[in-house]
Amino acid sequence: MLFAGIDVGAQSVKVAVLSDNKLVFSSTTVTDEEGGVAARQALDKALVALRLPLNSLTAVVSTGIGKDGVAFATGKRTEEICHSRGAYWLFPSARTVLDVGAGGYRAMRLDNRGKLIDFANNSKCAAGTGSFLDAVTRVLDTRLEEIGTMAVSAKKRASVSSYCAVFAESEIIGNIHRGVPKECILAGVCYSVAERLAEVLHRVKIAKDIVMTGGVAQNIGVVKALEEIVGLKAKVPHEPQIVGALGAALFAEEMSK
Amino acid sequence: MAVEFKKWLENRHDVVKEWKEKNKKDVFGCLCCITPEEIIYAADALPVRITGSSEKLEMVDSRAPIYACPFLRSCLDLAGRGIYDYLDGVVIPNACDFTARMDYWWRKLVPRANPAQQGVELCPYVLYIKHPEKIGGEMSFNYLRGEYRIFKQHLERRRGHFKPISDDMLSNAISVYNEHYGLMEQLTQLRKRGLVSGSEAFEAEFASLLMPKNEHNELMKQYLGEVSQREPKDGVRVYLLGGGVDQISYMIYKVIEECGGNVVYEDVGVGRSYFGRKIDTSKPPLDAIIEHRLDVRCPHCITEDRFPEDRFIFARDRIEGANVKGVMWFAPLYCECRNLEYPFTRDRLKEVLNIPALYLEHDYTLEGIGQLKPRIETFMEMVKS
Repeated sequence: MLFAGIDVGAQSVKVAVLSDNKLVFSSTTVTDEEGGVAARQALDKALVALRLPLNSLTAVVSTGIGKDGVAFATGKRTEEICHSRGAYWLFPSARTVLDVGAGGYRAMRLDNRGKLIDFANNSKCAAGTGSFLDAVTRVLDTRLEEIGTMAVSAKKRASVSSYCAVFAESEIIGNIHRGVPKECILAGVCYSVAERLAEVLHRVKIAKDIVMTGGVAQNIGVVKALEEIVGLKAKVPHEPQIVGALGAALFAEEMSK
Repeated sequence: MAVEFKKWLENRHDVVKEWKEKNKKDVFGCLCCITPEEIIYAADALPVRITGSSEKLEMVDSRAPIYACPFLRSCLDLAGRGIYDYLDGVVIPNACDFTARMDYWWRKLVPRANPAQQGVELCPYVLYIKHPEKIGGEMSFNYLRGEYRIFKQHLERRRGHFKPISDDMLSNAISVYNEHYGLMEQLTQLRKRGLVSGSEAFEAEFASLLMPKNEHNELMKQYLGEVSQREPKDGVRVYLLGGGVDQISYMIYKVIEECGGNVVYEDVGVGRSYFGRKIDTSKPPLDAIIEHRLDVRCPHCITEDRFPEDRFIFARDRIEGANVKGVMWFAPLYCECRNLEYPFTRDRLKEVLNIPALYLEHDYTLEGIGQLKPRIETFMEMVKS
């Protein structure tokens, strides 16, 4: 039997398909389409890859900001619940999960059975989100994938505000005008993001192991800065951005039992 | 005809103006539940709660601090625009730093359209009551007695005419208010049985803040008779803690219900949510009112021996027997009084009762409700599992 999870996020749609408790397919599709359409396109892509018709899926659970728009889903669960579930499935030692996506970030605390026992979300500001990093690429004329590696190669870290995304952008421009090397500015950017992330982590009282999920977990600069701030190593899955979809697929499997 | 309380939420200014026109009596606006409403009622005037609105602020930004309680800023904006012109007086207790300074802001910013309210020495438009910040012992009692005596004298001499407020008048007011507290307790019991939802209970309670308690009591008796015939219907039981909850931000009750929950009890600074007991009728009436107000767990006050444990104790006593699964802390931005109590109370709820808490900071207008709703959904899923 096949079970699918679909995570409709602020910038992309993630799909995970499980069979016999094994991940058999996963994808991330960046799209401008409306959530329901984008979700259908992403699932169709999965079915083509697996050479299967839609009715071969026993259950589909949606999650993410656009979960309500996925008409064909047989169930829906919130992001915090799905990321916790997916992270615990990948790392049974996970007790704190940090999900950082394009539109927001959240910290979750799990008990030793993987049950969600507390969570905290970001405030309204975009500081600390993937969208902020996206905006930085435009200001610094760089690519999103390069930010992390460039940041860790920096010899010094420029000062960048973690209080407000707009103020941070102004500071970046100020640093450019002062001739601060791009790597140093990016190191400052990653540190400012990590400072915001540490705030939500502290609100749930950090316990080992920390697992980082969401697209921003692919940014080594942010991960290293966060580890420096909280004084703990973070575990990062091979595909951190699909962990929410994976958790949703696990719920789809559970639903059919 | 079934009793409906919605009109007091939807047209609060109109219903009060209508009442005033019909009864030809004074109306006093009050901020916060530590205002001794019973004395105003005994003075044959109507105490009504001042609340804000979801309308865009027009004049307050240029005159009052921006990084301050959004609820009070909204109240002040309405007042500055003359929306509260129908009030004959305003009573301001020092319920927090900003509320205390509303005394100044109100005098400064609010136009006095009614000439009768200008220059009358013994009836200032704004009456300020300083509630003790450290509660306990004779000192706080004696201090508040002094404040209430002055407050009573102002009411007795309003409009330049002396009209004494006798002990009998105070006792009559206490009797009406005690009946109100008793009826609200009955409503609480029905909520615990799943017969009345949190939002319905709030609507009933909110109406009592805008009409004379004796009239509200009659409506409540009819309402309680109606709802007690219902079939029980329930959701995940939630205890709501916080502040700045009124006809706008009470939407949180609705959102919680949409997410499968139900607020069975609260401590949000409105009406019954603050009063744990009735006023003692065996004591001199003014002393009994003072004792009753000193018993209010106002977050700006510190009890001599129990702070910060008292917020937890207050919650624990209410939660017991209500099968509450989670606590939601719903406080407005910049509300340091409420928010300072959160970490300790959250930890004690978890340690002692194993009940998790969700922190929800709000901007009062609930423009950001889209962001709050997924968190409430997650919390519901978390406590259900």
